[in-house]
Formats: sequence, C-alpha cells, structure tokens
Amino acid sequence: MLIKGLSIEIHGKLILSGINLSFVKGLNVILGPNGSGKTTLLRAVIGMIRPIEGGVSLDDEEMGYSPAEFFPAPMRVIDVMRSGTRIQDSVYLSYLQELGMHEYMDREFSSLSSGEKRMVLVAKALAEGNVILMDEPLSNLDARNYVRLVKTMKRFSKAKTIVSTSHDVELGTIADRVVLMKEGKVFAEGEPSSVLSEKTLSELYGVKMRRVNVGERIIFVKDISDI
Amino acid sequence: MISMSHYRYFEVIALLSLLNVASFFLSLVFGAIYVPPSLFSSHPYSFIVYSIRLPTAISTASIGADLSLTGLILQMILRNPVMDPYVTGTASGAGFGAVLTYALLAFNFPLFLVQGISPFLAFIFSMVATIMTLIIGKKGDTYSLVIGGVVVSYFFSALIIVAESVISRVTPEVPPLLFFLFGEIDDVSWIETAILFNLTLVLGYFCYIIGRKIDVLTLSDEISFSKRINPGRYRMLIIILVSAVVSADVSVGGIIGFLGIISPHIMRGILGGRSTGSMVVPVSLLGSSVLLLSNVISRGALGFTLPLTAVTSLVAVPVITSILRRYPNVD
Repeated sequence: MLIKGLSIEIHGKLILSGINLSFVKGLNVILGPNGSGKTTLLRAVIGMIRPIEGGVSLDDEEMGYSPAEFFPAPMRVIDVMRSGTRIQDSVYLSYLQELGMHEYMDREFSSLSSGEKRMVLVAKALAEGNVILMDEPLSNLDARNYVRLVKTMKRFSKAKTIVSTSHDVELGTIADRVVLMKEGKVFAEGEPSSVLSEKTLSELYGVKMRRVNVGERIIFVKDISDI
Repeated sequence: MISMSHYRYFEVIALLSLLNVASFFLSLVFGAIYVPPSLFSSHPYSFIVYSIRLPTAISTASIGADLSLTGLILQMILRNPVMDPYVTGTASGAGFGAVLTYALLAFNFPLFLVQGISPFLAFIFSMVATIMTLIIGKKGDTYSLVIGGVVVSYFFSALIIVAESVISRVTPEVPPLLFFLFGEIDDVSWIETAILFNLTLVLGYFCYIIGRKIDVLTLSDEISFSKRINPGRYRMLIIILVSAVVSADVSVGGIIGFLGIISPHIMRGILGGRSTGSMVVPVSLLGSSVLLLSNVISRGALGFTLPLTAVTSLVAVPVITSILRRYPNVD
C-alpha cells in the first residue's frame, strides 16, 4: 500500500499535509497524540475522505477495518461477522476461535461488553482481508484480552499487512515498523529500535517519557513521578 | 446452539404464518356486515367477499408488511429503534402529495387519472419530508431525529388540512380528511391490490438480497467503506425505495402510524436481534397480521368504525414505552 503526497482538509482545516508512506506486510503501528490525524489517515485509505492532493494506491487488495467507534447493532455476533460480505461462516468461526470469542457466535452483539465487541470487530477485520486497518484496537481491553489480541496481531502480521493506530507505545515497540504522527505530518518513521527514544517520544507527546528496561525488553512509560 | 435457535426461528415463522392466515380469514368474515364462511359462496355475499373483501384483505396484508419492513430498514440505516415511515414524516409528506393531486379535479382531470397520478406526487413529497427530517435530526441523538420527524409530520399534516379544505370546496370527490390523517383501508380495487402486492414482493426481495449491506451500514461507516459500500449512497437508495413504497401505501390506505415500530420490536423481543435478511419474513408476517386485525376492528367489528391509526396507536403505546425504557440512552 502506497500513500503519496496525501493532503486532507476537513471544514477548511488542514488535517493531513503531504503524507508519504508505504506499508508492507507486517505489523505497522501509527503512534501520535490525539488529533494528530491517525484516524483521518485510515479513513483516507478506505476512501471515506477525499484528499485535496495526492492519494492512496492499493493493489486491489481486500481490506478489513476495525473502527474505533461503531454502533452496537441489534443483531447476533455471527450477523455482525457476515455483514457486508459473502464469506463462509466457517472462516469467521476460525477467526473468532483465534481470539477466544467463538462461544459468542449466537450472542447478541449489543449485549457484549465494549472490549468483547472490539474483539469481535477485530476478528471480522482479520478474516476479511490482506490489508487490515485497525483504529485503536487495544482500547477497552482487559489484560487478558490485550495480550491475546497483541499475540493474534503479531501472528497474522506474518501473512498480512496490518496497520494499527494506537496510544499504546508498547505496541510500537513490538511492531515491524512505527510511524509517529504529529499535527498532520509524519514526525518520524522506521524500525522501532531506531525511531523510539525518550527524546522523540517526549517531543511527540509533549510530556516526559521514560525508557524502562524490563528484562531484555525496552518499554516507554509516561513519567508522572513529579505529579 | 446454532441448530437450536434455527429450530426456534422456523417454529416462530410457522406460528406467524398461522396468525396471518387467521387474521386474513377474519378480515373476510368481519366488516360493515358479518358474513359467516357458510355464506361465502351464496348471492349477494359472494360479491362482497370475493370482489371487495378479498382484494381489500390482500392490500391490507401488503400495506402491513410494507410499513413493518420499511420501519425495520429505517431503524437499521438510521441506527434508531423508534424510526418508522410515520415517525420520519415520510407518510405525512406522501399524504400531502396525495391530497394535492385531487386539485387536478378542478381542472377537469378524470378521477381515475388523478388516482393514478396521486402516488407519484405523493412520492415527491414523501422524499421532501424524509429529507427535511434527516436534516433537522442530523447532528444529534436518537431523540433529535424523532423530534425532527414530529415537526415535519405536523407541518405536512397542517398542509394536508389546508389543502383538503381548499380542494374539497372546489371538488367534493376528494377523500375525507380523516382518511388521509389517520388511515382507512376499504374497498380496494383489484388493480391497486396487484400493484401493492407486487411492490411488497419487490421490497421484501430487496431487503433480503441487500440485507448484509444494511447490516454493515448499521454497524459502521468505516467498515462499509472498506467493503467498497458507500453508506451515503446506500442510505439514499433505501430512503428512495422506502418513500416510493410508502407513497403507494398512503395513496390507497392513508397515513397509518407506528406499524413499523410495533412489528420489528416485537420480533426482536421474540427472536432476539438478528440480521436484516433473517428478519424480513417474520417482520412482514407479523406486520400484515397486525394490520389485518387492526382493520377488522377499524371497519366495525366492535359495532362502530374507527380510523386505523387510532387502533395501531393503542397497540404502539406499550411497545414504544418498552423500547424507550429498555434503551434509556440509545446513543
């Protein structure tokens, strides 16, 4: 997937300006503060928002999308999975199984917790394409579902192009590639080990970020020790 | 698990079919006069039963199915459980268009031609009304659409009253005000019946084949776009179809309220929320049964006649109350 010179204006305000990015097979994580244009970028990829300049070229690939916000539709989980497509139930079942959600097939979607609904939509997205866009997939998840989802994302990223926005820097550290966005521009991009540092992240979020070593791994946390 | 709920689904459909047949039969028996089945084939009752009540009952069943199905799909695409063509103002707009057509009588248009043109003018105004409601309710929650609909409905009801009083002064052939405002299905011709019945089949088929698209429109605009389904275009297409069907219904039966809320809601209560495609048959069967029974009461089974919406409203009150109690904050 190739994004070339993409600029987007909404209500006369420039939201994205001159974005050049290419996403390849693997886990691509977009980090950035609220309002930096992460969601707008994903929406531009699916053609929901028309750019004023540049564009996105997809090689006619099937897309899956897991939105940050959605309507708790009055139907069963299996109906949610089937919606908008003609994929066989057995395929959906295997993806739901992957995320430990297969027992929910006949449950009413609107009766699930917000984390469970999110897991269902992620399973749907993963089942439906080679290019998977996920907008904040980790929000509202408990520790168990968080770990389960990250594992699943990592596993499927060997075969699919996964592009996920997040506020979770930890997801960035295990990505194949991170893109940092700020004020509608690409602030930095590349392999996590070269892009993620205390300095860049502190500058990105405008708050102090600290690097912590957990065994072999390096993670970044918000420094709230002076509060 | 899956097979069990299937069994229950088909069990419910079988019961609904029985209810439908029973209601249909009752509407052949009851009316201005009581015709027991033993007299169905004897003169002059056979004329009443086969030339008046039979087409009227088929039309009533069609209108009932239409209003319920359009309610179902409006609720889905507008993500609002209290939508139906009455609440969105679609029916009132159609009613105004239908009344307005009768002004042509003043210009010496023959009555049959006026009745033929009426659904088309009804369609134009039903679209206008629906779009007005959508614009008013655009930037808000569940209730702003409802309030938008109330405003638009009252606006077009007022226009109907004005048009009716002006036109009826010029030509007495215009149907009475009560017909337009509260609905009445009586003495429907076989031609109108054939049109209504075919429209119902088209609507049902359409809802069934694009059911999964309607489902994804309900769920998320982003997911729709990622499947190359343009939600705006599909919503408009569905609203055009809803307006067209409702216009034909209003031209024959006047404005009948709340059926589109009653029937999908009761079906969701019985079957649980399900995909649009799987709701088409049960919702239509229940909707046509409810309207057939309402029309039996409306046409005088209790000894006096009543406008149809007076009957359907009485059924709707507990249903709508339960919806609003169940979803205190729908958004």
